[in-house]
Amino acid sequence: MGQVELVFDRAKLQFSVALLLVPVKTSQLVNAEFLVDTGSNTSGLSEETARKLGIDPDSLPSEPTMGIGGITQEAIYRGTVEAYLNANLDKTLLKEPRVFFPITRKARKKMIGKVVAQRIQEFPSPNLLGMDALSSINGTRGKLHLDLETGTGIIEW
Amino acid sequence: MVGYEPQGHIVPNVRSLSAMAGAAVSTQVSADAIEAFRSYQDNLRWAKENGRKLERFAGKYVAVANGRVLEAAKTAAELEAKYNNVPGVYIAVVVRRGLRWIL
Repeated sequence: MGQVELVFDRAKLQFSVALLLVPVKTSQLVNAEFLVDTGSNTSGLSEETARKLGIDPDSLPSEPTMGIGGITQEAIYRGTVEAYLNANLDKTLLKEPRVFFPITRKARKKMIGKVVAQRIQEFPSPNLLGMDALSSINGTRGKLHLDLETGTGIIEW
Repeated sequence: MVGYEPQGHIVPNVRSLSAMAGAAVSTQVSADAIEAFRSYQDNLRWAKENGRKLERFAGKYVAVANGRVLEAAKTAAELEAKYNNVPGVYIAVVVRRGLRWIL
């Protein structure tokens, strides 16, 4: 049994959590913030976070993905990213996370059928903690408790 | 209010790495890295609970540590280069107030 407390952004009604990510190819752990997203069954990495883990977004294959823009082709990392949830090093797994990889309109024309996400302003995408991550904490399924009245959120397992 | 886009920040002092099955790497985590992670958690929480104090930096990146904004800059890279030696520093972009979020 264990748990991690989420951080609540009262203005945006968002819960987030800090994760300590195990790099894929580099040798340095990465601290990163993840928004908790109950609508995603696949976690997501920002391009910036992916690069720090040693993932090259340019080299990723794309797959059909359902999102608010309909079904689009999105970059998928075909591997598993390990992440620690707390200082006790309780671990979750981000399996084949999507990488939010913006491309320019010009590049998009050349890559139709591959990656279509675009960024209209140079702000980074958020990292998303999908339900896949809650399904594999220390090999067990987690529970998610959100209370907007008190602004508290907990993942426990 | 203000929003903060998550960014990944590299933690130094990993003692050793060993390959394991698949693409993932098994990591032995040092006490320093765990302490930096704890600081990162605290800094993230402070930033979320003190959105009003960050509003004036909308459109810029901020580096947060020990209950204060260390500096604001146009890029995360500037702050990462300057504050990489601050364990658990939280660097994020401050999004303008009222921005609609749909993920």
